[in-house]
Amino acid sequence: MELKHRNMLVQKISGSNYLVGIVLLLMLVGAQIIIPGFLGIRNVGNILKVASFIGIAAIGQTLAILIGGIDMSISNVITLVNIVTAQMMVGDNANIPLTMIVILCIGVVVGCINAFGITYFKIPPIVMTIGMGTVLQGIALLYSKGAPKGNAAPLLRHLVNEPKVFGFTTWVVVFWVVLAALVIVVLRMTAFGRRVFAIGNNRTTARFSGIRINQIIFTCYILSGVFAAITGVILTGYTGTASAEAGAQYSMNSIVAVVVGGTAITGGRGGYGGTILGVIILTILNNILTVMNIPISGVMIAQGLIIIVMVYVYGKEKAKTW
Amino acid sequence: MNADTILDMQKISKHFGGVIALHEVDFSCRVNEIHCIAGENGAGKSTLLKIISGLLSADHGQMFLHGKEVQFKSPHEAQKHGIAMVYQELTLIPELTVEENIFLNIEPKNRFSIIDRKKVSAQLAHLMQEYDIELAPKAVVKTLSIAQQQMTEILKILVRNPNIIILDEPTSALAQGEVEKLFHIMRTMKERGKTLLFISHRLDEIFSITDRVTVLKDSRLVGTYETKDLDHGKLIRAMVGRSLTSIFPKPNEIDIERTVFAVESFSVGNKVKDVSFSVYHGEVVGIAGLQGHGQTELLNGIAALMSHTVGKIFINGEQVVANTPWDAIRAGIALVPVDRKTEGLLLELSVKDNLALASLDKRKNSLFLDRKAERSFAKEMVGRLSIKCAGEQVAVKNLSGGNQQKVVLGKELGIEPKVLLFNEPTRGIDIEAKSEFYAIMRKLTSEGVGIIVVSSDLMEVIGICDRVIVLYEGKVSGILAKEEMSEESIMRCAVGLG
Repeated sequence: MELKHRNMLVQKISGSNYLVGIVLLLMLVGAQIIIPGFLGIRNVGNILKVASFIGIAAIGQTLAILIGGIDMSISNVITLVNIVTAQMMVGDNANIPLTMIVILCIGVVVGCINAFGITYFKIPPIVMTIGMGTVLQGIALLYSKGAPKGNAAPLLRHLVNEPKVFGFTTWVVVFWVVLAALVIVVLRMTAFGRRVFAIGNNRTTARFSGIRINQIIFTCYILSGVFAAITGVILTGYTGTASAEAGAQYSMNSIVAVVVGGTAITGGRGGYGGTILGVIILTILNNILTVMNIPISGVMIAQGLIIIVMVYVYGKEKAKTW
Repeated sequence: MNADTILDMQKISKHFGGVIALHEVDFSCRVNEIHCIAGENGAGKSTLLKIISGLLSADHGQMFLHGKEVQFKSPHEAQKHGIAMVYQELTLIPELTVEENIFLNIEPKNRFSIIDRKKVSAQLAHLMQEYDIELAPKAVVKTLSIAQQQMTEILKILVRNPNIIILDEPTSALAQGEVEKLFHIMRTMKERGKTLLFISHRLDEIFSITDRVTVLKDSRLVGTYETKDLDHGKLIRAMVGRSLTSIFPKPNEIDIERTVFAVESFSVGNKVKDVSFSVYHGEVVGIAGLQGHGQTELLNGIAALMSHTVGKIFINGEQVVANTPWDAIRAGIALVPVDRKTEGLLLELSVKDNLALASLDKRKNSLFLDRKAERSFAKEMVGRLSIKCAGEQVAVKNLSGGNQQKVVLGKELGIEPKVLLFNEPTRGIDIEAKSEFYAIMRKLTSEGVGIIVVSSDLMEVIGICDRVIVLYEGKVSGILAKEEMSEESIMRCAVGLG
């Protein structure tokens, strides 16, 4: 009983399964053994820095998946925003405000169009967002004329790269932590959060209970677009320049993080706390494999296998608790 | 052991975790009989049938089929031994035709492994003639009515030629005429030497079709009786352990001066046509009719769940304009929908979360949900509706049907409704829970809530309603006052002879 209670508490906080925590712990111990200094302050700071990029993008993915959808356009929003940001900032802090307004607009508009297709035309989310992503890819190509140029403003580069906070971490990580806390609170403690879970669990019941489904779906996809856009800006600060492939891995990686974090791929169960663990697991895995000089192909194979194994394990867990 | 005995089960026990579902139950059935398993929800009926059909295996006890001990590890094994089950939730593939569903996986093939369509058609025609069933073999299943889908399911089982056929609440979704048709088929099966095991909550049905009744109560066997030795009173006593003098509460004073709720010239697409009626203070109004004559559409239309609605709605004399379910709920219109599992509840979530769902905005501290208020609201509802659960944190999927239905009602009461619409409120719940439901309805009407009940159970309509409106092809075909109500008068209106 005591243990059951504790597990429920863990589940409440992380919005997921204690299994994820165990996996993460094992990885940390393993990494520290294989790679001396892995848990040193510099490397931890570095891991958090990289994790924050996918972590912010995965907020939107968590919301989209929780309501029973998915957002495959995240990659393309990031790439487009990366190109737009570099080209608009051209290395000058004075251009930051206008650039931010434009890229937030991009996020909102993309989210609106996704939600519009999904709610009013009943297009399956995966199809709608892949279609939208492809359109964005085209727009990015058109806008950059095939040769992305420009670079990030110095202030942006500073915020993303310099470990100035508490001597080991960046302002972007702080931003992520604040956002994460906000998202967890909103999902767990507000009526909006409750409605998100209700829709993901059973849309018909949600409708019969007077929940304004379209409103919630719009909100989730708009937030997904906005967080993807913000990730695009941050990524520009990280690389300093624009690239036609900047966000390529983000749709898939954010889904992996969400699913590994214990959110049901069919929606209605899980939460952002789990996603954070998923993001960190993913980042550490990358870090370990990179340090061990395993090529990108190996990293991809490992990621693919992990997602399949995790979904299998969760499936078993769920089946047991009927 | 009797020579006719086909299945004999001895001291069957089954536990789920710490919960006892069956305790040393003996059960046997004969060739050529229709045998009802009766008992309240949670008495263990479904568990027993699931053990027979191989869906569950018993923890203890023995099962003999034709005198030989058997143990089924899966429904497939049970089928190989000639035992088949018609589930409450139909298992057909909606996109395939009747014929394709019936012969799924046992399609007769020619020597090139191509499905022999002629043979399929011939076999099916023969079977349909034998059992006097009319169905279009080429019709796509999703276009059929529930009753027709059930016929398809039954044919699917018959074509596999089982000896024992289990029917889990086959009549719960059917209207009167359809039930007669089903019973005709069941009697034919019996004549062909088959054994039918049957669950129903409707006493009349038990008396009209079964040969024997086995009663379970609290996971134990009460006894097996010849139906001809029983009457309503005896059967109810066996099921609930005491006699229920009347499950319907006394009607309230009705105040015709005060109209709680009214609709005027209400239409929903072409399903509901120009319906007008009102509900007075203290009154329960029933809506009856054969299945598919617009009852559900009328209720859902009032709750603003349907598009293409025309007409006016008044609550306490004031017109209400509701374009979305959200508007309707805020105006005080609550609906207990027809299917609690898919429309009323979030099965995976807790009793507390489900109760809170429709009225989240009522319990907030500025931005955040007030968890204390939620907990005390849940506690209040659990007490007020006597919901039996091991705490408000339990997932509703673990509750019995009657208690799940109470959670749906509690959720709707959370919005403090002025009018409460019930669609088949007591379908598939036991007598005790039913009578509790009726008492709650009465109490609400005395508090000034208008109540409208759609039901295909005529006993229920006559018992609980002060007035009944009968629909035929979406139009009002009769309005009957309490003293005019009888099964015959309602049926006359329901077939358009009102």
